[in-house]
Amino acid sequence: MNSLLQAGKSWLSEIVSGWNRFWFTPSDPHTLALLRILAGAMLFYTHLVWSKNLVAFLGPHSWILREASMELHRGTHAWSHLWYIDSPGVLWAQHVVVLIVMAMFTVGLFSRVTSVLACLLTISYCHRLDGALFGLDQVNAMLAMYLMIGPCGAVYSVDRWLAKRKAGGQLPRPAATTSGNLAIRLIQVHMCIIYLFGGISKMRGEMWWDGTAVWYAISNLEYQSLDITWLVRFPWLIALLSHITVVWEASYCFLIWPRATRPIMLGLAVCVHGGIALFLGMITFGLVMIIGNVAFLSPSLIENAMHYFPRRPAAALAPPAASPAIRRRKRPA
Amino acid sequence: MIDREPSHPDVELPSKSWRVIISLLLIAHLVAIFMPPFMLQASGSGGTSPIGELVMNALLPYIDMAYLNHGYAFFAPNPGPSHLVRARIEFDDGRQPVEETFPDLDEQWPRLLYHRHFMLSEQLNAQYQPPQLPPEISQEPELAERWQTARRMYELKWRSFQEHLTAKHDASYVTLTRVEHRMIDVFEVGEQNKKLDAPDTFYDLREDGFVPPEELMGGNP
Repeated sequence: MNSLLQAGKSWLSEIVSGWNRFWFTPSDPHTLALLRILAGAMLFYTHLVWSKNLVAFLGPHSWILREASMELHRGTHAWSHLWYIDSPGVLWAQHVVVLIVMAMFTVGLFSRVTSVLACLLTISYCHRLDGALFGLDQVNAMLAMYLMIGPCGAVYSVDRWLAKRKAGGQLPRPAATTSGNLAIRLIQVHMCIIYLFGGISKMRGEMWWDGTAVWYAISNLEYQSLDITWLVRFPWLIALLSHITVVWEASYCFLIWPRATRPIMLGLAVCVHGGIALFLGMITFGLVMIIGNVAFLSPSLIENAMHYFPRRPAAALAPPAASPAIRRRKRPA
Repeated sequence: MIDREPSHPDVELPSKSWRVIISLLLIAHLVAIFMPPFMLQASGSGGTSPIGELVMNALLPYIDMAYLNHGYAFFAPNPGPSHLVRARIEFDDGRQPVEETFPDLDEQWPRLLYHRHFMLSEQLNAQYQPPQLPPEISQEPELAERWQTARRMYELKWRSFQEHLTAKHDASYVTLTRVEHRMIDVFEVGEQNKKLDAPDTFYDLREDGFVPPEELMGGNP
């Protein structure tokens, strides 16, 4: 009985230990910073495109009227500042401010503040624009929410450049932080949930089982951006693509974690989302899903890759601020 | 404020009290992002999972506020037909009536803007409910209430579109028609050389609840 109790205690302690390592091990900010640039650029572009039809989507006679939008959300806890703006002049003024915030967030200027503003504004726009949204907006909001948690402007940012200038050109290496790790882990887990339910929901449809689903996607004229219906001559290939899509989506949340299968999962993510971007007319959605997958690249990989940009040699980097013990630790994901 | 992980002493962790607080928040958040897509799947002819509803309702304020209420069912359960909206715009000042359809690749650029218009028509169609309470649910108060709410949402969007187009064209009346572009199968393209934009693949959808047989072929894109 005693040994059973001991085994139970040790099992529980292993779980707590694993939980702590997964969520609380400090992590370098390089992955998060790259995500800030990519997701920030997507947020900026998404809001820039609203500018082209701003009054038609948010003005007094918009596609979904202000009152209708409020009514659609009645009884929910959604809120949008755009419900209280009627005048096209005020609408444009606040939209320009939003674009400036998104641009500042992308380049990493006052990133602590602009990351929070970018998240709040993105969600506020989404609540007002219900009816014209799709997967792009869901992933945009998800990335913005998690990027505000960690130090996403610690590197590759104007903030860093300004701090370095102020310090006379020499700055210690940015420290690894728990908040940075939390942000990355949340993006990773959220991506797993998206793919898990993407896979499960497809498994309920017979076309994904009989291998015709990809055909009906590529032959949908309203989605199509490049015509690849010549694939009709290769039904086996259409079926193969359908099956790979479901198996990859459903298994992503399990196979993305082991180092051995991670490159395969990420490679398939680029292929599937690249295909959606090129052939199904959803360039932005395809790209934002690829951006979400960047969360699975290790900070050291990104740091090394960024050294290829002609800025300064790696040897000129200042010594690390984090303790040697932290530098030696096993890097997460 | 710093602890060390016992099994990995070189890993520094936040203090225990911070870890407990953050862990509790994390668990609540993880459940909040899991529940909406779970609830989309956890439903059948017997209704939705009662335990799922309990958890979902408890977290709904946060889910709504943070814009997390998504099913992530892209092109699922099956890819389906597309839906467009055709508008007939009439004037009482002598101008000839005009017709326009959205989405329209020639009118809406860049592609993202086109997709926004495509979502307007798709989501209007997805919310369609027949104008009369279907007899098969008239005896079930819960289903009847759901129908009423869904129908009200549909009418709200419908009237919004009408009002938008009326103001845009300075028109006196706008009539909307939902149009379905049915899916074309491998045989039709491979053997019969049917074009994807063949006129006979477009159907006007009636507002009285009539469903063309082709709509039964698939789900939502």
